[in-house]
Amino acid sequence: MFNSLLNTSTIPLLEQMASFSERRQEVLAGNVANIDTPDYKMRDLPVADFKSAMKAAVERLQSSGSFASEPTKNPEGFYPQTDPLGLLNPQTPSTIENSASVLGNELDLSRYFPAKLHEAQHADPANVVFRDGSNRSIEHQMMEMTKNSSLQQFSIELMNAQFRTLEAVISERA
Amino acid sequence: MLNSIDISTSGLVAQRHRLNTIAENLANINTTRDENGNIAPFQRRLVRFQQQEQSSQEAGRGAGVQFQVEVDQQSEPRKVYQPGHPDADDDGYVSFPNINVVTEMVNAMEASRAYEANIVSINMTKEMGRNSLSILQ
Repeated sequence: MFNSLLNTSTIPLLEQMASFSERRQEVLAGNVANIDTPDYKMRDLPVADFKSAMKAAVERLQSSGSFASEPTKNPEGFYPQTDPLGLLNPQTPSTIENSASVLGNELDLSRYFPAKLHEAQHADPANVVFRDGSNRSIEHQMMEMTKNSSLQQFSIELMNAQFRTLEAVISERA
Repeated sequence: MLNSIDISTSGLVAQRHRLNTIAENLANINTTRDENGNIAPFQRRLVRFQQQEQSSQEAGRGAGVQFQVEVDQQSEPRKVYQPGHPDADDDGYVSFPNINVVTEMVNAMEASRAYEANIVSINMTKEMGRNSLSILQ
């Protein structure tokens, strides 16, 4: 019951956003640490892919109101990396399927947010490439880091607001 | 979260060692003998940065930096005509280390700015951690 209560809100999506930006902070910190390393190529997480995944998940949430039941694939064509409980297998006993859907959103959300969204790639060589082969730009890195940390703060604040609403309902006072 | 701080710390350590090396170069700018008293001009030190090795399960995550202090073997000593100097050669020239104050100072400024950038990065990571903890309140 509590899971369905949380699943109908945007809390699972905000959680994805916060964990994505925390992982991205790590990659950006690595870029700053390697600012003087010759031949180091700046890295970043696939932000555009994450945005489109988030868009697909939000559209799904708006159309159905919950993540409890899922289509086999989303419009972006993301599939889960692994299928440990055999959820996609039609021969799976129904008991496992039921228990998995009771378990909550983790399994379902991984369809929208595959693990490869958390893997750093070489960032676009938009900046000047120096003679040592590095495309460092401390200004870009710092700006991205600031944006990233604001995004994380934003998602945490929104989560907090939702939890406060929930608490108000539970304690029956505003 | 803690991994981000470790990465930034590796940057801090590397830049501090770079500053140490620069200080060493500047302190020895007129050194004409080695630690055993032999006549040999001090050789400039420099720090080589390298991306930290990552294990296969760390691939795709942020990487720290590692460094190595190297001795500049290539630059020729600076010859100054000082016939009365105890370390002068037969022609009256003294070999001083080939250290350029301007180069070292510019490198020092760059190192200290890079150090600051890593500090800012740690502060941002801390701020994000504080944000996350605020859920518990």
